[in-house]
Amino acid sequence: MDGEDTAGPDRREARAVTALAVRAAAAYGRPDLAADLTGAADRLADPGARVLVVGDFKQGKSALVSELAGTPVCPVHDDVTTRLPTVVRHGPEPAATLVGRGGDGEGGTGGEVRRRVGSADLSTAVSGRDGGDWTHAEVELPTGLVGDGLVLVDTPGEGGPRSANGLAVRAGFPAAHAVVVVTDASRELTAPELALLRAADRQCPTVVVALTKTDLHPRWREVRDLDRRHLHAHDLDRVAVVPVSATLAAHARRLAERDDPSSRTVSEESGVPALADLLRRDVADPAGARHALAALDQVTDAVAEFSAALEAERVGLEDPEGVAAMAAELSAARDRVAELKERSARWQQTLADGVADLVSDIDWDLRDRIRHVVRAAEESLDAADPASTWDTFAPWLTEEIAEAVTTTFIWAGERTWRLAERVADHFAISGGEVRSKLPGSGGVVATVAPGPPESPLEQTMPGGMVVRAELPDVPGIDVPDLEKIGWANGLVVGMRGSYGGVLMVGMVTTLSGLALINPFSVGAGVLLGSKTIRDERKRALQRRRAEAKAAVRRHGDEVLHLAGKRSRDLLRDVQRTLRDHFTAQAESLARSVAEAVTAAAAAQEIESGRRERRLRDVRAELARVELLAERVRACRAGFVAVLSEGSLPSSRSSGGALRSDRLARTGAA
Amino acid sequence: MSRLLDETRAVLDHAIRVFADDPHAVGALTAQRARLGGPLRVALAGSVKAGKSTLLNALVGEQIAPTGVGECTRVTTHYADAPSPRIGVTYRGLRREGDPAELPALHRRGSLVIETERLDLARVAALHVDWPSQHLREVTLIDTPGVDSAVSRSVWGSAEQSPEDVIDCVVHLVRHLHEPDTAFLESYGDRVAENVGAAGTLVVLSRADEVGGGRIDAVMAAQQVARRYRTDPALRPWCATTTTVAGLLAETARTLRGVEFTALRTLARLDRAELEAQLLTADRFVAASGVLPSGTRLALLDRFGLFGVRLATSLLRRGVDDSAALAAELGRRSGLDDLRDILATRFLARRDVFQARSALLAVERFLARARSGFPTAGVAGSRPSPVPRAAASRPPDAPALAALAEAVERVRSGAHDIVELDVLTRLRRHPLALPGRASAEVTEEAERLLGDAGPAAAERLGLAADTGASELRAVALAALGRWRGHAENPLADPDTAEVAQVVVRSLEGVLAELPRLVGVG
Repeated sequence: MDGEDTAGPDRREARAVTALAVRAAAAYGRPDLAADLTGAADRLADPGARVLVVGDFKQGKSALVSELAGTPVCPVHDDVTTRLPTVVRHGPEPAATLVGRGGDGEGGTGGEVRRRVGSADLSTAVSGRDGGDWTHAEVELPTGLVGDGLVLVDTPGEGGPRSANGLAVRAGFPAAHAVVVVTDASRELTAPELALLRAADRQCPTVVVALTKTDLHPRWREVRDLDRRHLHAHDLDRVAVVPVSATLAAHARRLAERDDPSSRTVSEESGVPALADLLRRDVADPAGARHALAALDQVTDAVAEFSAALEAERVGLEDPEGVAAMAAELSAARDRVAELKERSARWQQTLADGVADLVSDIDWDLRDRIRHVVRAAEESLDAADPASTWDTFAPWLTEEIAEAVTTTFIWAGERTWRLAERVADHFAISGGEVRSKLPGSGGVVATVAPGPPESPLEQTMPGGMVVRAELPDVPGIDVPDLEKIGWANGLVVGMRGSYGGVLMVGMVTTLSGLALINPFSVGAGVLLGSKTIRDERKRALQRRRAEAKAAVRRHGDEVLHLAGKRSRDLLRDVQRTLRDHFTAQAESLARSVAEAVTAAAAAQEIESGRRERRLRDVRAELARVELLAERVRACRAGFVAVLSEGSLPSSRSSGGALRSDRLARTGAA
Repeated sequence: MSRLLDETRAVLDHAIRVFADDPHAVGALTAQRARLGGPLRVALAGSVKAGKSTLLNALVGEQIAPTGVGECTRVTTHYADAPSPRIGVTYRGLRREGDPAELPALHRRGSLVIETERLDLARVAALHVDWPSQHLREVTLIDTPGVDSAVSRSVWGSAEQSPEDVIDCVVHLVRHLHEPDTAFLESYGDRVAENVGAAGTLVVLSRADEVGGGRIDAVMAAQQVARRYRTDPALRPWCATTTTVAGLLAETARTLRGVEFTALRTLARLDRAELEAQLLTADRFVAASGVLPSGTRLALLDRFGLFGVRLATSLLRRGVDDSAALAAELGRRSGLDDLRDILATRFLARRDVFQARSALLAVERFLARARSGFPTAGVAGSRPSPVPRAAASRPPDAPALAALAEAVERVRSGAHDIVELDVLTRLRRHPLALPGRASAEVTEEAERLLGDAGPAAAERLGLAADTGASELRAVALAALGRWRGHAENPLADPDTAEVAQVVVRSLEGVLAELPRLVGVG
């Protein structure tokens, strides 16, 4: 991967041409286009691909994140561990912020408290020693891997799916672009780690195992092979195992500070650059390329639009006879644009219908999944006594329901992305027709459809807006009141039953001259009493089951209510984003057409004396615009190459294939 | 002490008579009886690669438990002293045709090789390794598979437990202490440690040499961690105390070979900066050219670890000059000596008490089952059997059960040591609450007086071992007065008063023994 290669994706060039286009748009009097392009330039700077670094306690997650970021950002300690997730992202200058919940703190905005801190405060807070109620820490760095658009997230140790930490970590998987599972070279993968890997593989496009502390363990190669065997046994062959040594990387960093020439080889030896390259290639580049393509497409369109006015002017100056034909074309284009803006336009129809369909489909899907979970839960409640199984039952139910909701949301994410693609297609057909009628356009500009969704819950809509599905917090189930018949209770119930027996038989036997309390009546009392207790126990069990089932159903309704609201919000968000985007596009197209018309008219009225000079100026301007367009095209080609490479089905190498092949696998699957 | 064992034996005989109709109960109780007075049974538990087998080797001083890169211990393995080496195999259920009853005891380069390839591990209950060693004379060590293994199931997780799985004490190895380990302690605290309890559990921070990337002060850093764990409220209910050990270093120190010493001395003579550069990573050390071939270097790392090589060469450079001195120093620094001390004072010194206690508990369990009408099979594990046996076992009649229960209770209340253990276990979960006193301090004192740090008088009173009898007496009398006060304090809750009474009785026992000591001296 040589960065100097001109054919490759050049992010700097992309940023440069976008900035140039912004200036040009402003210079040609199109502030609307300039604002659009500024937004694109911002997104180009930060594609924000999230990489979650997870693993068991004390495996070296924080050390690895620090080395990937290139500076010690996360505190590393012999004993104390990370308690707060730390988000390391790109920023103009180094800064650290603690983020907490609650609205009444200082600087609280929208229920979120943020406080800028120094590095010492950061490390006490992250290791949970300052007692503050923070939810996570954010660190901004100008350089390193995060400069390429990756967001690294250091997480607290994962303690298995039943622990609170484990649940929190797993909840982050669907929103992540990649998961790095950290395990140290002292032992092979354990059962909980494999479970974590399976969960990550199901929900996240790219999963990597980082085998840390290779400096300490001479036999790390054997451990790596054992790990690969475990991964193979669990059908996780796609997961690459990358050996790294944070200690060695830190050593290399210190050498580099002293300008020691050996720092580069030491750094290579640590394996951290290899992992960084892998993340860059599999995660940052595809995500970045998609963002870059979207931005460059916008630039292309904008350039075509503001060159239209110049071109119209040129035609008017050069060839007054041709103006009539052009005017006819332009008025046709104006009609078309007016149609596009109409509510009855085809893309508007597609969008409205699509969203309506999606709302009902997703609602049905969610209902169906939760209904299945509830039914399974009821069956398991019928099979056992809820009072004794509740403690294991409740976490199981919570997990199943969370899984159901996540699955629905992932599916909803895919569907919305496909809808966006369809709307974009329809718009492109009509929009393309308009554009082809603009003077000077070389025909229809092919718009590249947005790439596949980069993470299940996050999509870049056409135009570069990012829509995120926020998973609802699935609440825990309320503990129902499970009545139990204890000893004292049983005694009372038994007495009640036996009382009747004693009286009944006692009354009869008094007839034969015995006392009311006699052996027969007492015997009958005992018999009836024990029967009453048994019956009462059985009834209590049934009542407990009914209570538990009611609680399960209530819980299902509650989750349905919350998740339903969230999914509708998501869809409305998508609809609004798409509508606003395409309406804005239609408006800027309309303006371009109008400007072209004005320019052509103005050219007719110019005095013959100044005509020559004006023509020369316009030609020079057009040449400059053409140069810009040429640069954009060249730059775009590089990104298209990356993306089409990446979207090729990965060569399914069988067991003995080259390791590098597997490393080169991209997140296309 | 042996009076306690005699009484326990009598109770077991009584119980065997009562449950004579139930072959399962008889089997379990006979096994209990046979091991009374024998070695203490100490299990090594923990997650995969926590260093259980390595520590076992270090304790025995020989490489008998297989250790290696991958997961090694897949079956529970008992290591006991015997006149000649032998590896026996027991199965879950009946032994099938072709199942070997014994494995050949092979030696390779001074270590024992256990070939498990021919075994169907899913059905093997346990391996029993007989090995002549003086270090196994007092304890039988039980090596267990890791609790979170990706391939094998652990004994702790399974409900079935055979009579020979009786465990007196548990050494729980952790690499760091976090939720999963505490959860494990909790779960087996209920199942296995029913007869172990917190008083019989020791938590060891193993692989101490890897803390902080194997720095030269790694073990010291680990000791600080262990000190923090000792007062960790989350850990308190589950163990008597904590310590650290660098297992690999300990094992190597106990089995240091001449060639290794020579190789280390060669390394120590290298230029200091050069050696440090080589020791930056394991790979660099192995690949370094010069004085030693890479095969020797890899072997050194396998035996010492990067930390061990760093430590040993620095010791050699500082003037430790012969193999025995190096081994002794490495052993001391690895924390093994501390661990052995703890095992000796806390566990071995009360061997009879631990054994009697678990035997009585077994009898009580059978009693409880018989009274509730359940068949006794399944008490200590229902071993699948082709012969239906439910019909054969007729529950013993109530008067016999009552008499047996009475006998158990008589031994129990007569043996103050057992009461002490029970109170110690309870204290770990529920610290004392005395009005107007710092409860942590009082609890600590109570634990010490109950013999938590060792049953000898000086240990109980927190004095040096060579303290004179008259001083011991004075301190004991002062403590007795104080604790009588606690026991009679009208404001104290019933639990505290009860604990205080037990403490008073322990102190009376200490005082009763003292004059005789004077007479002897």
